[in-house]
Parts: sequence; structure tokens; C-alpha cells
Amino acid sequence: MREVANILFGATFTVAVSVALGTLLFARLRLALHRWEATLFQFVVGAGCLSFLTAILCTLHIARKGVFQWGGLIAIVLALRQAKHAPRRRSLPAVPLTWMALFFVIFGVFFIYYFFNALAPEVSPDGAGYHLGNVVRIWRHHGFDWDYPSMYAYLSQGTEMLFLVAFSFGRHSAAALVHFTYLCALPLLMVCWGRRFGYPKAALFAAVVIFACPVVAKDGVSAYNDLAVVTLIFAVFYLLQLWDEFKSSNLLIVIGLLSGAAYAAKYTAFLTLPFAFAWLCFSRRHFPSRRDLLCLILPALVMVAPWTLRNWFWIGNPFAPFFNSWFPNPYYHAGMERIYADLLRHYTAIKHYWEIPLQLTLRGGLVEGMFGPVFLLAPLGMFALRLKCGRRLLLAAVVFALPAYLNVGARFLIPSAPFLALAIGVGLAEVPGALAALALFQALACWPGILSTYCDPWTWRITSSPVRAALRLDPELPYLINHIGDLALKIPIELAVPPGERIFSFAGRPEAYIDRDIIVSYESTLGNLAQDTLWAPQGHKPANAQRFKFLPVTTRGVRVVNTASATDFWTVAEMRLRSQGRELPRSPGWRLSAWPNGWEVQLAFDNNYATRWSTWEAVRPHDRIQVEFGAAQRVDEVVLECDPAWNAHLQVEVLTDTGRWVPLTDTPETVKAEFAPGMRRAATRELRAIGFRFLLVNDGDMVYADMKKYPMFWGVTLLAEANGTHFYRID
Amino acid sequence: MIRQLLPLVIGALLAVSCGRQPGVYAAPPQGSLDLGPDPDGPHAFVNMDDLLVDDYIVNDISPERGLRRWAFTRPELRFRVKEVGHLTFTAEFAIPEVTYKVTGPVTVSCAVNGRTLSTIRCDHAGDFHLKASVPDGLVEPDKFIRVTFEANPRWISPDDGAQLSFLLRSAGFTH
Repeated sequence: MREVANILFGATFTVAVSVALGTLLFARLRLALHRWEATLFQFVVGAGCLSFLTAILCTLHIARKGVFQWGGLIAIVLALRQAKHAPRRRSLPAVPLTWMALFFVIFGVFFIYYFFNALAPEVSPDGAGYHLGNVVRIWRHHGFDWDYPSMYAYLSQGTEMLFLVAFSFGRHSAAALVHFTYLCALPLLMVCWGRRFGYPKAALFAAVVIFACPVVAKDGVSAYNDLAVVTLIFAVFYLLQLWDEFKSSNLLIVIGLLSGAAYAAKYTAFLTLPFAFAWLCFSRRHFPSRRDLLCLILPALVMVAPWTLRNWFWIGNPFAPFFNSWFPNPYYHAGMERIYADLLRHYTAIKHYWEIPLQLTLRGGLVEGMFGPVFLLAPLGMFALRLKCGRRLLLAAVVFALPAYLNVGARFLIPSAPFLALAIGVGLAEVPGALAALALFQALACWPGILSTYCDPWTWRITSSPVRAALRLDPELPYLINHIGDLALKIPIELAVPPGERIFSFAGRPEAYIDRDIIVSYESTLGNLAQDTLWAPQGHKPANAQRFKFLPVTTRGVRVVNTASATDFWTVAEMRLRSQGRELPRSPGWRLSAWPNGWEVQLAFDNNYATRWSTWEAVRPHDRIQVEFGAAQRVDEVVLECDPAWNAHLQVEVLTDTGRWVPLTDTPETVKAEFAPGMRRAATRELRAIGFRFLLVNDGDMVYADMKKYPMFWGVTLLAEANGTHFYRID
Repeated sequence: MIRQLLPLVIGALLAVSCGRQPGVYAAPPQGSLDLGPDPDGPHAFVNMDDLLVDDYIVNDISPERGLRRWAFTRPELRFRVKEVGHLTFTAEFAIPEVTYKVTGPVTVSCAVNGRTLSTIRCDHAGDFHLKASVPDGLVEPDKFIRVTFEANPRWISPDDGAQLSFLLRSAGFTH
């Protein structure tokens, strides 16, 4: 039970420090908020501040338990002193007791069920993967790990900063409980909104609908960040309406701060600040004053700064892992970004668009979650258009649904859902009994036992309330292994891999529970290189040689330039220069360059057929691979040994004494290449060279069948295997 | 409004212009292209302790590595030869004392592409060498050749009914 106490303390302490920071800020800003809403806003705003401060500590590498503990205690003491002298806040307009009672009964029942899920060992895929994986890595280093390459480490991690504080006291489940706090805060904030702005019935209805939502609940009890994001967005919407009434610059400061915190929590909340800015413009029907603009934008920029600046200095891309074409960098390929983004943008198993509404409301299996049957009534939300408030809600619902275009998972519609639920509520508010009946219906239909009778069996949702596991009456590791098969390899991995050494894996792993760094194939340039190298024997042997022959020239440089646009990647395993049938020996004095992806140009000159240079994006005119010599050389042939990009159009150019590049030929002779044997061994040798001695391979990975059959040819030894995952050592 | 937005636009453009540039690199150390053989499927002959023996085994031969492997009920191997003239099939195997005590004399026959090539009677425990010429036309160059063995009687496990024929050491075609 001591473990449970630690978990509860970690989460409670984090929330308490957040509220304390919010209290201190609100005291300075003198905001006229009512009792309930003040507490909720103090939590939301304070959590943003705590996240910001923790990010600074991580940058300075002083993110330690003692710092959190004493810093937090000071904030709490100061806040208590502040609260003692603060005038008592007024309460929100009253609501009929029966409505509130009904709401709190439903809320309470779901709360208990959810609470044990949040308290149980964290087993969600992204939570045990990168969300808490990042947290654990940061915890190990007392700050950001600048050596760990992963697109997930480059994302803004505002919510993870809160998780870090909680984790330092209560480990993984404490972090999940912090996110659970947002899940509880959101419906309460919605109720406050309804009470303040005169739509209490609609708000109580919408709060129940959202709290019962299967995808919202599952996300909210996991160490994800979507509930933090939606709460922040809703808080901004709420405060913008308050600003309409009071036109207070101090409110704009909080709005700006929350908008920045939303971006810091998740990039997909980037629309929050433009939304607030547009609200200001349209609300006053003219461009906001410089003071208002500064009050809005400066706090937002401050909240955003730790993440953009970190990425700018670290990666060279303030928006990493996105916009890599605009900000080329050696850590994440633009082409990989596009492949990944395309994967997220398309439904893989949906055959017709009309399936989507049913999937999102009733089935859930093909869209990674569902919102419950009441959202089938979303068109009735249009009735809200007759009211100004309804129009605003629907506008917000549309705006915050836009990021779902970039990722079709149901989770990405969560930021839009409260607005849509409120719009339905406002639209149907005058139909007697409708909202109460619908709220009860949603609550019943989304109760896990009932939900399982009609949703797809594999829908991402809460299926039970694991009380024994939550209270640690059952041991944690078997529970974890039961839910995350890979963890059966935790002990073999930690025994075999020395601390500090990295493991390569084709697929993502539960990093939060394995005390070693795992480099995943698609998460970084390094991962891409390791994957491409291991795929070489089966996937892309350089079976062709493109020979460009021309009359002998004496030149200081040779390059091959593409002149066509196509969707292929252009790859070169080896680029060889020849004179009179003999290869020019490669000299350390050669100056190699390429565009794009010049960082990997040496792979085309390393005499290793398992590695290759690639544009790592669709070929475009002016893509090139280039050699400049220390002294002029006589050349009459350029050979590209590769898996050709058939739609590229290549021409050889040489560098004249005047410094101009002159084209010589664009007509290669393509012949089948005889390349040396031992590709498997070459691949694993290269992996060792780039720092990997251990591999995690799944049954379904391309190399597995061959590696299983020919371990001696690969030079690998199987150390352990479990649940379709195989742990190899490169000998 | 344009004047107020201008600094933002300029700032954004400046930001975009600050991506990293790859630069110029020296030629790296040259790797060796001599990294040993690649597996390329079955050839004409195999010893049971060869690295690639799994490529030759089709059926009913024990999977564990070792100098000899148990042949079970219907052991089957596959081979490939480049030239088919004057081909001889050979196999080395042993009848262990422990099974011979139970089975007594054993008759072992082998068939190539379904046609019985040779039969040998093993009337004691120990090593045996089966050798037979391959008739012209029975096998084709560069195509898989199926070789099956049959032993009679076989040792039958009283526990689980598993059947053991003999311990195979090597098999294949020679010229």
C-alpha cells in the first residue's frame, strides 16, 4: 500500500502545486472569477506555469525530486498565505438541485470506475511508449537527453513536464493520475461555463456526455496528453467569452498563457492562439490595440519558447519533428516525416466515408476509439446556430476539429467534442426532458459492460476496473506483461545490454519500463539508417550499375544531378569514378557533398553495399551527389551502383577551371551488377559501427525469417524471445 | 494591419532561413567487400553439421544441430546439381545399438525423385554407407532433387509412439 500512497502523493502534490501557482498568478492579476471556476482555472493555468518551470529545470539539468519537493512546498505555502487574505469569491448562479444531483451521481459513479483504471499500472501504448518513455529518460538525466534521437523526443512535452513532477514521487501511475485530473476538470469547467453564461442544462448534459465518452475516458485515464489539451482549449474559449464581458487585459494575459500552454502540451493545439487572436479581432470589429496584442501574444510566446528554442538549438528546427523540408536537419528526414504523416492521415480499413460517423459513435474499431451514440445527434447541434453562443460553439467545434485532418485517430477529435456536445445541448435545451434523457442514455450506453455489447471488440476503451492491480494487491510485473507482451523481455534485455548502450528495434517498444535506450526505425535518421542497412540484403541489394561513359576529361570535380521530378527516392549505394577502366582510389582529400540529405553522403563512398545515400524524399530537379578533388583528375566514367530510381533523370557534370559545372552526359548504360557476397554480415557490421550491438525483431519484420534461418550469416545470436519478439546480439 | 503584421512575417521568413546546411565531408574509411559467403540454397551434398543443413531438410529429420541427426518416419532431403552426367548418390548413416536391440536387422532404402535407387540391409548396429549410381534422365540440372529414405522396421517409442529410423551423417550426389 506504500506504493499506492506514493502514487497518490505524486499526483496530488503535482495538482496542488499547479493550483498554488495558479492562485499566486491570479492574485497578481486580480481576476474576478467565481468560486468553482477560480479553482479550476487556477489548476489549469497553474499547471501551465508548472510545466513551463519544469521545462526550464530540464533545460538546466536540475530536474530533481528535491527541487520539485521544496519548490512545490514553497509555492503551496505562499499560495495558502495568499488565500488566507483573499476576499471570499462569489458562487456561480444557482442551478436546480435535482440537476446537479443527477450530474454528480453519474459523475461520481464514472469517477470511481475511471479512478482505478488511472491508478492501475500504466499500460496504454503511447503512455508506456513515448509519453512516459520521454519522462523516464528525462528523469534519468535530470533534464533533456540531448543524445537521444527520436521524433517523439522532439515533440513539445508540456504535459510530460507535469508527469515528470508526479513521476518523481509516484512513478508511472502518478503521471496517469495527473492526466486523469484533467479528465475530471474538463466536465466541471463545462458546468461552470454553463452556469456563468446561462446554459446550465446544456452544460450539465454536455459534461455527462463528454465524461462518459469511451475514447475520452480511455485517453483520460492513460498517461496521454489529449485531455490536457482539450481542457486548455476549452479554458481559452471560456475566458474569451469572459473577456467579451470585461475587456480586461489581465484576462488576455491568461488567455495567451493558456494558448501557449496548449501548444506546449501538443502541437495540434497550435490553432488556439490564432483562434483567440481572431476572436479579439471580430469581437471588437477592428484590429486589437497594441497593448491587447502584447497581452495576448507575449505570454503565449513565453510558454511556447522552451520548446521552440530547445528544438531550434538542438535540432535546427524549431518545429521538429515537423517542417523538416523547411528546416533541413540531420536528425529527422523530410521524407520520413512525409511517410509518417501520410500514414496518420488516412483511414486504413474504412471502405466508404459514410462508415466514419458510425465508427466514431458506435463501433470505434477502425478509428481507434469512439464517442458514444449521442454524437449521432450532432446535426441537431445546428439548432444552436440561432444563438450567438451556439454559433461560437459550432465555430470552435469546427476549428478544433481541423487537426484531425492530419491524424484520423478519434483522439484527435477530442478537442472539438466538448464544443459539439455543448452545441447539441444548446440546440435541444428547450425540448422538455430531452437533455436529461439523452445524458442518461449516453451514460448507460457508454458504461463499459454495455458498451462491449455493440462496439467493435478491439475498440480502444476501458473494459474493466482493475481494483486489485490498482491497489497493488496483485504484483505489478505480471499485470504489465499480461498487457504489454514485450515486457517479458525486460529482464533479458537489462541483463544483456550494458547501461548506456542502445538497442535497435524496428517497432516501438514500452520504453517507459525498459531501462535502456531503444532506437526505433522510423523515429530518427539514425533509426532510418539502421533499418535501411538491415533491409539491404533482402529489400534493396544494389543489383544494378548505371554507367555514364564519356570522353576523358581532366577536372576538379564530378557530380550527378537529377533534372526530373518524381515520387521515388533516389539512392546510391556506391558512386565510383573510373579512368581507362580502373577505379580512381578514394582519397581522404576528396570533398563529398549532396543535396538533399548531404549529411549522409559518405554512405555512397564507404565501399559498403549494405549502406546507401538517399535523398530521403521525392526527387526534385537539382538534387545532386558531388565529389570535388584536391587536385585535377582524369575521369571517363561514373558508375552509380544502386537500386535505380527509374523516374529520375540523371546527368553527369564536371567542374571546369572557371568554377562552372558543365554537363557531359545524361545517358547511362544500366547493367546488372555483380556485387560482393556477405551482405548480411556487412549490414550487422555497419550496425555495430553506428553503435548497435543488440536488436529487437518482431515475427512480422522483413528480416526476421532470414535472420532466423541464417543467424551465422548475419553474425547474430538469439538471446531471448517472447510473444513474437526476438532479442538478438550482434556477435 | 499590414504594417503591424509585417514584423511577424519578416520574423517567420528569417526563422525559415535558419535551417542547418549539410556541408562537405571527406571520403570515409573504405570497408572491405570480402565478408564471406552468402547462403544460396542447397547444393549436391550435405553433412548434417553443415551451417546450411536446414536448407536441405524437407521432412522428418530432427532439427537439433549435431554430427548426426535422427531420421524419423519419412525422412526427406532436397539437393540441386549443376551437371547430371555420371552421378552417384551416397549416404552415410548409423543404426545405434540401443534401437537395434529392439528392432533387429533393418532394411533401409532410398528413392530419388520418387524412384527407388538402392536398398541396404543392416544386420548389425553400427555405421553404413549407401551408394548407388543415378540413372540418366532421373534428375535435371539446377532443379530440386527430392531424396526420401525408408527404414523397416523402425524403433517405436513406448512413451509417445515416435518412430526412429536411423542416425543420418551425410547424404548427396557426387560425380
